[in-house]
Amino acid sequence: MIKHISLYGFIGSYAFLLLIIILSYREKLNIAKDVIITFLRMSVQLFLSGFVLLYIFKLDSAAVTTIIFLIMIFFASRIVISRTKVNIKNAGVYIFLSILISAIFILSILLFGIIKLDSFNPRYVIPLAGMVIGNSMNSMAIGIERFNSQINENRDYIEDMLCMGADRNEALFDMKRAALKSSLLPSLSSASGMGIVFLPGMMTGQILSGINPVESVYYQIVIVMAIAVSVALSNYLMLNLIKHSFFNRYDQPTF
Amino acid sequence: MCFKLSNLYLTFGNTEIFKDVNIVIERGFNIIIGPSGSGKSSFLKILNLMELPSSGTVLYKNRPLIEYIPSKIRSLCVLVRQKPVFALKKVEDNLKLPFSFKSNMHKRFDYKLLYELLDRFMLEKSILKKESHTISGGEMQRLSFIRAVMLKPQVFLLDEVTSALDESMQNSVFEYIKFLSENHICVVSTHSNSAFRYADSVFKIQDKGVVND
Repeated sequence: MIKHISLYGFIGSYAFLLLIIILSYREKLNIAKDVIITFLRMSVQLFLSGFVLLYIFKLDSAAVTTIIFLIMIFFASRIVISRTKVNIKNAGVYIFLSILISAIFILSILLFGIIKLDSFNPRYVIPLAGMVIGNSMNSMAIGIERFNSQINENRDYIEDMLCMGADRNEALFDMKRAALKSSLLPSLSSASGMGIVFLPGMMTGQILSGINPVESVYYQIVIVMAIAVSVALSNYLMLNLIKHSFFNRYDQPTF
Repeated sequence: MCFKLSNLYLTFGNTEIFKDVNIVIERGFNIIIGPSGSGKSSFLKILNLMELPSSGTVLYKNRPLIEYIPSKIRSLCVLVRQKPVFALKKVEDNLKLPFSFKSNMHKRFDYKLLYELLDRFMLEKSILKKESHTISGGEMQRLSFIRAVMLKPQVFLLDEVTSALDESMQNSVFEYIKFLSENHICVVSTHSNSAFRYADSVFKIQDKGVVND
């Protein structure tokens, strides 16, 4: 038996915002307007996505699901680019390809190998793809920024190595390693807090919708591992593609 | 074994650095001189493909430089920069670093030669175990010269490698370069007067040209 949120209860929950607004006035934070706009926008976005999902689940078409999947990756790569503000040639294309390849790889195993779906069911594909892509996106913003700053900080060192016979892979090896490590850290630290510090969103959702907590643990563990692999894989691919943007064909630094 | 530069031009943006350079650099102790900012470092970088001339050709062993694999030509023509960076924690690891590159795979890290060179340039063996950030600029300059010697390249391109050394130490480095130049092309950019005593030929950068003095 699931307790639904009533309309009054739902509208009443907006009263939570009053607290933030009062705080904003008292402490002169000047964020009252931002808070209202942000939360209204969030509500509209979520309602829209709710209706779209309802429609797509009813439609249950593999083609439409695939298109949605691609659109999600497209926006994820745009967000990575805009958030990191690094100016790297072809970065958008490389990020798109890296998320695409890693998401296809992970989701195929997850959906058809582990969950054993018999069709491309949007009810499973879209939320799971969202989690995988979203986590790749967050980690890539960290990875690309770290890579870029490492390279710029170590320009002389990189040039020294090239002058002694290193190729571009060897010259950027340490910077790539540092970037990969820092992109993986958030997933690892969040995984180590799960179950003790907080219950992950998906598990919370499943428990609230009436599923046996132990059953939801199975799902959650599989998802967390899939997310970790996709974070590692997408960052690894991205760094290996993007490193070429730092050199010309004669392995001369162009940064 | 020589470098042949013909009709070589180099411009950075609107600034012309070299204009119609035609020279041959042969085996021996070659020094390159010129005021600061005249393009000595760029000249050395052109010789190991770290810089591309705007036009003109550079031949090494009668083959255009750009036809070589970049990492290969740079392992044959090692360039030691004026201010080397030792980014790895221990000094010894920095000396070993280039031996891990594919282009240097066939080369052996020769401890006997290393100890001999440390001794020659007044460095203690214990410096190998030190942390890189604790050593002085002069020590680092000598160590990166030693590293280049241990790589046994065909060509030594040395960019002001004695700038942080006192005169007697400069002379021991130049003496050793003199010894190397019997079998190698050595091109040394320098402001030091004592280098002239050892040089087989002097290239001078003036009026955007490079002339054999």
